[in-house]
Amino acid sequence: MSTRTFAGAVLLALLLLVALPLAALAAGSERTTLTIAVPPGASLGQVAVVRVTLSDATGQPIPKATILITAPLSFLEASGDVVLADATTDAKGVAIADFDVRTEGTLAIKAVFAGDERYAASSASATVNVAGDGQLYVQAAGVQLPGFDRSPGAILAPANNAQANVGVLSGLAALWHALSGWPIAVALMTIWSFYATVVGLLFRIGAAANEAEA
Amino acid sequence: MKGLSRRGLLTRLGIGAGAVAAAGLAPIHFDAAAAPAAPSGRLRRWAMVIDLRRCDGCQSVGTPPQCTAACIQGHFAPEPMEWIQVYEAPLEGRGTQFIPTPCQQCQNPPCVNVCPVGATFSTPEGTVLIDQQRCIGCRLCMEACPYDRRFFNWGTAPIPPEAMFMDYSPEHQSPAIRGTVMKCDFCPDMARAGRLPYCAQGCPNRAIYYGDLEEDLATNGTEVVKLSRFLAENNAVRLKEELGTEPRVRFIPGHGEQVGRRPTVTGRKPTVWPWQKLVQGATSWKR
Amino acid sequence: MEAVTGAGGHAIPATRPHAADGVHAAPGVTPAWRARLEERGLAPLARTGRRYWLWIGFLLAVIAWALHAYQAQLENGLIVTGLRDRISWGVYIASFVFFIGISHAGTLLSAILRVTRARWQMSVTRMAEFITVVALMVGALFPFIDMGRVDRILNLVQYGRWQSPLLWDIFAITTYLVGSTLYLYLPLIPDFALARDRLGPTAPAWRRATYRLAALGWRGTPAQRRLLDRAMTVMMCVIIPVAVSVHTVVSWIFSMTLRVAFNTTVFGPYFVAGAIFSGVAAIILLMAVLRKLLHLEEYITRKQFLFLGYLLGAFTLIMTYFNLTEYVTHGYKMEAGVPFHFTQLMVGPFEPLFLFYWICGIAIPGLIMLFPRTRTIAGIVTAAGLVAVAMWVERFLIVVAGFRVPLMAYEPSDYTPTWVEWSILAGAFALFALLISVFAKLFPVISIWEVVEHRGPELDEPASAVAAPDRRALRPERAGRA
Repeated sequence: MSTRTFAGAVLLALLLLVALPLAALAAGSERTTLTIAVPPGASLGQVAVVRVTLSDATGQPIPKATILITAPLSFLEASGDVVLADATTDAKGVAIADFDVRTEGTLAIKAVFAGDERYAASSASATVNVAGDGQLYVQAAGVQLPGFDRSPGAILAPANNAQANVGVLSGLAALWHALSGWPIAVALMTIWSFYATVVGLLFRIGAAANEAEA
Repeated sequence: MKGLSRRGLLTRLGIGAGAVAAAGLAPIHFDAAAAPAAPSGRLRRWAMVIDLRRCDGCQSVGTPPQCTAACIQGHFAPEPMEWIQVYEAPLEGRGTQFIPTPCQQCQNPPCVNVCPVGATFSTPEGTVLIDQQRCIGCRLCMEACPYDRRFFNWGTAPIPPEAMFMDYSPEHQSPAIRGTVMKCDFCPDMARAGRLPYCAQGCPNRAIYYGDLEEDLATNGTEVVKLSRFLAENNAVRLKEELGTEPRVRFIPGHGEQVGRRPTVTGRKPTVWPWQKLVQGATSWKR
Repeated sequence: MEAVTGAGGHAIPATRPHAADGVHAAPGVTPAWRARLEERGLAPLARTGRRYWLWIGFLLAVIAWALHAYQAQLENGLIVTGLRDRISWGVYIASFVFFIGISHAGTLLSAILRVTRARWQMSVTRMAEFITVVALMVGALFPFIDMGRVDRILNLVQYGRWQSPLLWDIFAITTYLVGSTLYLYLPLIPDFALARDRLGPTAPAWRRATYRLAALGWRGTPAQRRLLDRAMTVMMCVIIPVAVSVHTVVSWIFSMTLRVAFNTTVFGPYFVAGAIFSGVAAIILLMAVLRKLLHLEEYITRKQFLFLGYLLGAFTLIMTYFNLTEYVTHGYKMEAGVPFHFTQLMVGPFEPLFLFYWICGIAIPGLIMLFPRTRTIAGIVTAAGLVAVAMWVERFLIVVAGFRVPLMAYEPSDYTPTWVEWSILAGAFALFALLISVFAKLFPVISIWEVVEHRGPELDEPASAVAAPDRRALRPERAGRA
């Protein structure tokens, strides 16, 4: 072997020695294709199911790949791509992700495969139209018993829940409000009626005196 | 809620930024009708997530905790009130963790349950507020709160000059009224204006996320996350869950490891109230 | 028989027939004995000595000082107290619980013992009812003294939330105050009639008018007697559940919260038992004082002290039972916060007060009642005094130690009451004494007609009084007795 050939072989070996590990670190060079199927429309508060298929350049499915479903959303002073769900592809390269839909309007869904040593990254986009209205999160705390489940008549349920702004009462309303606490009202009225009886008896003692004198 | 934009007024009067910690933290009062908070009339359900993996008590910054500092400056909280207070709690084994603790905004609030005049109440958004003009100062709520988050105006707190230009509202508690109770209010006027609360803005590590359980989103100012997923994936917990107060504030366990803190490095700088030094004759008391 | 000297210095003829009929004297009551009782009972109403005015002056001075302290609090806010965020209730609320507790004296004695027809307590029911009404009036002041914004008191009416334990307190204490006032007034009617008839003729016009008005035209007719008995029976039965509910509700301002020391279901009965315990001690103390000052030894004898002392002793056991229940059920489990609480109570900063409560409030009074050697009037009064002080200490421990348990990771605070709080407490005690003293001047401190009716052979008496049974004392007709 001539020196030039030997040098070339060493150079090639060195190149491969450096290049191959580098290549291994970077995303793979194999092209992948991601397809996404979303329901055309979704209702607010329902679960939307997204079906994603990941295949390589030859159309073969890629299993065990992590797919992220994101959407660009804004909240207060920030915005960005929000990861809504994630799923892993099965043997057929199909991943099914679901998430509950909380923002109405047009949702620009993007499925993202970040790529790995072998495969390149890829993504796919789709649009979901979310319609609907209505409050989804209702806070609940305490026990709701039949007959006691209306605040402020509730006794065992907490005295104040998110819907009620308890305490904004005045005068007669406060009296009615108090009476809606019927156990307390009944107890108080019972005892005070006894007091009224006694006061009545006192008046009769006085009257009996007048009779005796008359 | 009428009121001049404080920042606008200050600019006009040429009052320096000394009285306000950072320009970005000036409270803005908007007319409620002009800036509806939620899409399509759905009410927001405010919540907070505090990522303790990123809280080191501002040890790396070398200052008193910035969340508390921002809150104090933004609200002119009188000394010694720390509406968000960074507790240093011991960990199992050796070391401590820092837990910035705002009002937990409970959904079964013990304070609201016991108030005899309804001075403290829950808004439909789930925020617990105090009407300082109705409070009779009986302090039953302070006895009932299991998180040490309510503060009483034992003496007369100094009045910040800005308070003269502010209309009273339970949504911003300034000036402090002697003989009444105050606490963290989740900055409702900030939220309505599309801003984060002072504490979330002030955190240098972006550890405080402010979110909406209705739209299921939260943000710390840089990233937006899906709240329910964020909580589940990071094993978020609530304080004193067994008490059944159902707080809206959740914590992701940690000790500041994501910002390079080792649990055995203890101690933080004590909180200060710089605005109070600017007011002549300022007096305070100990908690 | 000695003549009674009226307010104007005129002698009231003692042979004047008693118009306060309708009182069926018990067997063994001689006219002499009865006349002596009436004289002793009405004497404070008839004449007032200089010592009394000096005493009133002293009490008014203490109250004036307390008002000065309260003025300082109104001016500067609650910062003049030792209260702060971490321990936000202290002397005021502890004293509130204490005074409301004492008010159970009257209910226990007047109602419970009346219902069970115990006769020995008849001579002290009036004093017990005094204590109830006065203690309620004084105790009810404390929540208002403790308020940060007393000027907003009307918010309680305008915006009151019935879900709040404080409102329950207001309902309960108001109801109890009205009820115990009625219950004080009812047995006073025949005594007012006696005063109207015996003292009225020589008393100044305002007094005469007061007696006449308050006596409601009582003539002792069978019809009136029937009505009075019915009224008293109603009140007797109603006041017992009211009193039990009052202190239960007072305990609920603590046990409706999630604090480790308060989050227990036993608080209701525990507080009621403590209330009766301190109430009995208060009766014994007042009994001893008034007996000495007004020369009532013949009617308040060792028997009253003994029986009340037995009650006191029984309640040391009941209090021990409740306290042990608390300590054992908490201590067995040692839930978070309980080790701290027990440490601070039993070996920490509260150890001296804790030991004082147990030794001087429970053990020593119990032992005094156990041994005949110590079971004298002096011994029983000492026991009662110790119990009264120890029960205030116990209320203080409940409130302050309960608040001191840290809720989060911070160092526990300390609480030292200031001169303002002590002054106001002293003023409250002075107000209590003042009101009792005023009552003692307005109403006979001993329920004359009831003692006459129910005095039985078991009451000690000087030998001379039972020389010959007076047949006039045995009334043939029993018609009209309810």
